[in-house]
Amino acid sequence: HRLMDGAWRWQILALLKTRRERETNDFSEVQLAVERTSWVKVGRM
Amino acid sequence: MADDREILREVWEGRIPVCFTLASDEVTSDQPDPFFLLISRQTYITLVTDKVQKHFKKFTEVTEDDEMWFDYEGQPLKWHYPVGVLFDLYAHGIVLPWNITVHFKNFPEEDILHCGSKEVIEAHYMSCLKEADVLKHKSHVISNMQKKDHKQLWTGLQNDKFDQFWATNRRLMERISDEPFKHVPFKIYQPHTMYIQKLFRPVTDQAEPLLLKHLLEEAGPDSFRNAVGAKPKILIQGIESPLDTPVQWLSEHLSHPDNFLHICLVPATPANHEL
Repeated sequence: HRLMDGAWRWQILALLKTRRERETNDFSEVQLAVERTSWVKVGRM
Repeated sequence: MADDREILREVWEGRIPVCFTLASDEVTSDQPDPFFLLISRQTYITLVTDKVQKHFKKFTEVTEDDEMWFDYEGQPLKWHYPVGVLFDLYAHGIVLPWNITVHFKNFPEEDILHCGSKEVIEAHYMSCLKEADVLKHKSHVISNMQKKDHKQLWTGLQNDKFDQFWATNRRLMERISDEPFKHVPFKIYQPHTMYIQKLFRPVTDQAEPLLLKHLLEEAGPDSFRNAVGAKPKILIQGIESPLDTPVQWLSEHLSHPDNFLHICLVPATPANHEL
């Protein structure tokens, strides 16, 4: 059983992007509740 | 299966700016500054607020028996609902940031479960996950997972690691033998009342996909089905999904990390009607 993409998929993606702009992008200077650390570590040999 | 990573990533990245303030009647020294955090919609509020507790403890008298809890405009916030659900239910359409009041006294025993440690949150999360898999796959997937897989889901959520979480969660979202889920795990919330949960198959007997509108017709509250005039807004992950979206796809892509589709019905107001 397979479900095909519909117009609803693109509508949902656009709504999610608008949500991010409204709720998150304007507050990028606010401290994240969970710090996101990088796996890349810099060190000297 | 949940293979649309663009959607999954966008859902995961949803965060809400919150301004925490200590309840004025609990301040015993100088008035503390508010504390701001950008919190994932997917997490639980008591999982990510250690810093809030540390910040405000200095400004109030806290004993060992006191437990931090939160309210929004007098509404105690249930920590066992995901943050995004609490926001959609009580604060959709407000001017951000979301102002939450912090308390250490007068714990509202009638409204909120105690949350003594992060193990309590983990136990609640795992219980939801197992219930969801019983509904979707008669528990076949989660019971075949190892303890380390369960841990990977939990640490992925706790540490906000999308790839770590989805490396395991994809198995829970699979259609076994290309069959849709037996039932879709969902909860329908309305402000100030209990949530609704029913059995709902995502396809008809003829294998035709059922849509969000069908789920609401079958499982929505009477007040929603019989509404005359303005209907409430239907929010999933903070957006109004089109009513012709297949429920199977919604379950696979817009569920929270507990694998439930959390649907909020909130009154349409002049302040939120254009969001």
